[in-house]
Amino acid sequence: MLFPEFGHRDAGAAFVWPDAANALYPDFKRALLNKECDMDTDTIKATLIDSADYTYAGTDTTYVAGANGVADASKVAVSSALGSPTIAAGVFDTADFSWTTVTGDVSEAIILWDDTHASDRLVAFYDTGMTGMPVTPNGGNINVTVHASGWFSL
Amino acid sequence: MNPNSQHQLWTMWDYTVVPDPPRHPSFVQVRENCVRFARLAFGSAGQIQIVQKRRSWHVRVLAEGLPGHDPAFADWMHAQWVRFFQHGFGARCHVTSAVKLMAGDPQTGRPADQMLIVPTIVSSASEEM
Repeated sequence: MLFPEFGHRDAGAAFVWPDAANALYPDFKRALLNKECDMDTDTIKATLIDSADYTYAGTDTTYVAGANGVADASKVAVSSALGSPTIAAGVFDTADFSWTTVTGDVSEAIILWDDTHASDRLVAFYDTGMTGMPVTPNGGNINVTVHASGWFSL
Repeated sequence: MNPNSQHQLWTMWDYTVVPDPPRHPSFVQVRENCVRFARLAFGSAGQIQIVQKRRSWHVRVLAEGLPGHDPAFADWMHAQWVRFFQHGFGARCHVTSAVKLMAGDPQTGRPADQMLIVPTIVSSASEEM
């Protein structure tokens, strides 16, 4: 294996990417630069994801199932609009939130997405370094604490 | 650490303090004293976040093993914090208190709450490597 930290080529095989890590979706960066997203006024939501049914791909653009989208089977719980969004000093932050009375598959990831536009643009994917993951829904609430430094910084 | 394993209990304690006007302690002073008091009140397992806003201070403590869902205990703990804040921010400081069960059995008959802490993403050139 060459450069395992960056993925590798197996003989005769296509390029193999390593496991996904927390990342902003590339199309979200393009959308920000193109003034298509307004993070402190748009409706931003978070979805609990079963990684058995969705794998991060940098080419994904939309939360809607289908091409370059997120399979519905992977969506275990969806938040309402996240409260108190702020964009101070290059940091996007929101209030903490809860998914209530959650049932479904064991979940390993969170997707942040923008529910304002028809495109339902994907914003960020988190599956690494999350305290409490994987989480097994038990019918109770799942309370989410956003990092003290916000969801992401640019 | 898995905060969602059996018998774990995690609570978030939130305090917003508007100081008595003459009192202007520095951030370092407030941080040192809050950390010391939180360790005394809650034990060593936990996290603290202190935010200085224009006219107020916001202190959040994530603590392990405390029965925050017990109203009597929560009231007692809030009273300790109010007394602590009055020492530092003045007797007439205004304190708003709240506590939330983050993970563990709420003892109401409904399933246990679970907790996730989301990390942050720092977008930089190296992310694209």
